[in-house]
Amino acid sequence: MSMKIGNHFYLFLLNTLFVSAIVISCTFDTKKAAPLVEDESNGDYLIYQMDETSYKIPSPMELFLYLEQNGAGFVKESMHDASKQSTYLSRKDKSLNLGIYSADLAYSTVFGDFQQTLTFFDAAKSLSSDLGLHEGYGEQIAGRIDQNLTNVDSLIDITTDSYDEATLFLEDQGLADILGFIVAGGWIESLHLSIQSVGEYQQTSPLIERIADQQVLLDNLLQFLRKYSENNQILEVVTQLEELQEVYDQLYYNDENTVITKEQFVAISNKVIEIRESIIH
Amino acid sequence: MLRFNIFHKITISTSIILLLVAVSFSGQAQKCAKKKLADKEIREDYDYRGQSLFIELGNGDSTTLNIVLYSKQNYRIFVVGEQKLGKIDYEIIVPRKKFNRVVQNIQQKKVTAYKKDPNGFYLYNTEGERIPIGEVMVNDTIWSRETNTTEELVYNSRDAESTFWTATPGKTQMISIKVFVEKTDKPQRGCIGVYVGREFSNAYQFRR
Repeated sequence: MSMKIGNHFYLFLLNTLFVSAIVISCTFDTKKAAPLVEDESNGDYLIYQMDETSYKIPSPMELFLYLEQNGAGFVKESMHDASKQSTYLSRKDKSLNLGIYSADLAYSTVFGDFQQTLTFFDAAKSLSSDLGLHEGYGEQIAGRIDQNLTNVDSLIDITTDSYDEATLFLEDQGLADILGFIVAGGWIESLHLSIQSVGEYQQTSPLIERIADQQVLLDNLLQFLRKYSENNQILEVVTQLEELQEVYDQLYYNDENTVITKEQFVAISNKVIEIRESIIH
Repeated sequence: MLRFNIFHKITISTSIILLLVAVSFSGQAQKCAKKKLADKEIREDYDYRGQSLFIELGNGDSTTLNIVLYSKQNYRIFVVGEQKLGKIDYEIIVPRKKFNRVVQNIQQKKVTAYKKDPNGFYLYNTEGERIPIGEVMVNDTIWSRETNTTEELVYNSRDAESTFWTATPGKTQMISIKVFVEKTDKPQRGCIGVYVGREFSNAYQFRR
């Protein structure tokens, strides 16, 4: 009996330690460098002083609105195939492709292809449900989309909400890997669609300039992802994006009057296609 | 058996309590995003979705948000927090990248030397070619560019006239927003909102 009690006591201790470990990781994982320090002015209070850096980039929606307002064509055939969502099995593939579908959802919304909006919402909803993500792509948003199917402005508003709620939820849950994959997937797809919609290279095109601008977003995105690069799957994405960054770095050597040359544009385009292909496979 | 039940119950209770603590720590961003931290007057007609940050901080804490502002887009940025936190200051910093031409390497290499007149001009033979007089060693300098990043403080709430910062960047750039919550004798925790708003375009007039 005492042996049994002893075993259960150890079980209790192990359980407590295990759950405590989960609690600590949930609380501080996204807030590195958060040591417990004693408040100098009052010994009774223990606070943790936080000095954390967060990174954000504009959503794909902002880029697509800019494309639409500057006369870019709608390249429907360049979007991903929504029916492939069921072929993604790993957490990494599901998250990256949720980012891809979220961008396609935003893109088809901005360009008023309502049928595609529904299709991509369903694909995103299915993947987010698989990932246990209940915010952003749930029934409530689905209902709002159904009620506003012919109103572009409302749909833009709803899909912006959707992306925002999903990212807030992931930040809260400390699911940095999923958040990182979604943001990376969404950014790659938005860049891919922008490049495809430009068509011919023109040095003075505002669309080309905005594609060159993505260098700044890439720098910030990489800083965010590197925080979690102890995760090997995140590291794989970081490595791919760093290869793209190397191509983008060539822009720094241009003279003041040249934002991006045709050769640089083609090199970026090819690298983006290569990375995207590896994600959607 | 009785003692087993007690341990069993304690284990379950402890797990539940600890998990509840975990849940209470999570949900900060959503909880803080739902609070009306900023009134309509300061928000005006800007869309704050996308790059705003909602976070729970305590007195003495600081946090930094790095974001990207697109060129030719109007932005309004400000930071507000719950009253119980007291004074909240923030700085907006723009990192500026500068390139300098620097020597990457100097290599010695052999080159042919040619005959010159007393004024330093090359002399030519009857076939119009320069006249070689031997080989000399010269320095071959390989140049490269060096990137230096400097930081420019463009807004400091401590001495600013306005409680918000507005900008229309000439080119797309990254900016850092550094937030400081004042230290107090009795530290509190509360919500902070780092609001990054972009002006609605004509084609997209929805308000939040």
